[in-house]
Amino acid sequence: MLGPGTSTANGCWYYSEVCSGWGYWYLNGVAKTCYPGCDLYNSTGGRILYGFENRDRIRGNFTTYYGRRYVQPGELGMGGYLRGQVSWWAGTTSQINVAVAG
Amino acid sequence: MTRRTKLTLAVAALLVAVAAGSVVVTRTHASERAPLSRISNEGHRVSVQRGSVWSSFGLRSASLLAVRGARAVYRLESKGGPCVGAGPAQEPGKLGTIDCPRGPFPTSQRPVLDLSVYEGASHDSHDVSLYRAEGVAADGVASVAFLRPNGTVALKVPVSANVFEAGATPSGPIAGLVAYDGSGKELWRSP
Repeated sequence: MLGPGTSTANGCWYYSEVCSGWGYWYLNGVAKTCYPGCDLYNSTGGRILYGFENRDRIRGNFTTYYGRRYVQPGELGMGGYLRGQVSWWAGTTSQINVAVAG
Repeated sequence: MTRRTKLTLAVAALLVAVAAGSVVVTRTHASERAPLSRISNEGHRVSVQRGSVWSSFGLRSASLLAVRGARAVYRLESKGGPCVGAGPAQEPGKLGTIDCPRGPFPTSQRPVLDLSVYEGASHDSHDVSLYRAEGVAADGVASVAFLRPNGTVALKVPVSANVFEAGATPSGPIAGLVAYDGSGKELWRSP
């Protein structure tokens, strides 16, 4: 569950965020469910930012929709030693499954 | 003509008028919605670079929708359904990002799939700037605009063959996305 105040308590960029440890990651994959519900177009009430971060910035794509997404650091103009991240941005709590690969 | 006949004719005329009106209204709604519910650009089939993480993703086919600047945008078919992807144009078939929406796309309620990259540089603020503008839009969308928090347009990007892209983006905060039709009428606004 990712909502206001959710944290992995490992020094992520934002307060309401889950992030991996530091690594030379290759891919961040996020599956967002319909929790707590979807409208007719499968939009949830929760907006998230998913991608990567380093010590200077955080970058990613936004979504509110049910579905699966994958992004590589190079797509975000990033590389090197990074954290994979998913941040709660607005709205309701989101239910996500997320994994980074390196 | 008796009074009863006149009344019957009047009712019949009214029913015909209502039916005709319904058809017009239905057609108008249908014609307005249809361009927002389809992507006519089918692209052309390309081979996705194999031996990568995408092999376990269940990708069945890929079609190149367009190349815009340094970017290539793809329509994908996976085991789980249709997806949209993008990657560097100089490496055809190399995917760097994939979005697989579950549910209808495009629709009048969601005519744009935004693959744009946003950047935050402050830990304390949720202000984000635009690193790259990119995405796929329904037939009826002629342009998209990225908005400042005060609602003014920071960047307007034309949509061509269902794809929009802008590698050069303005600095400063971005707070939303709007889609317009060919006459400049607003069709949709991001949540």
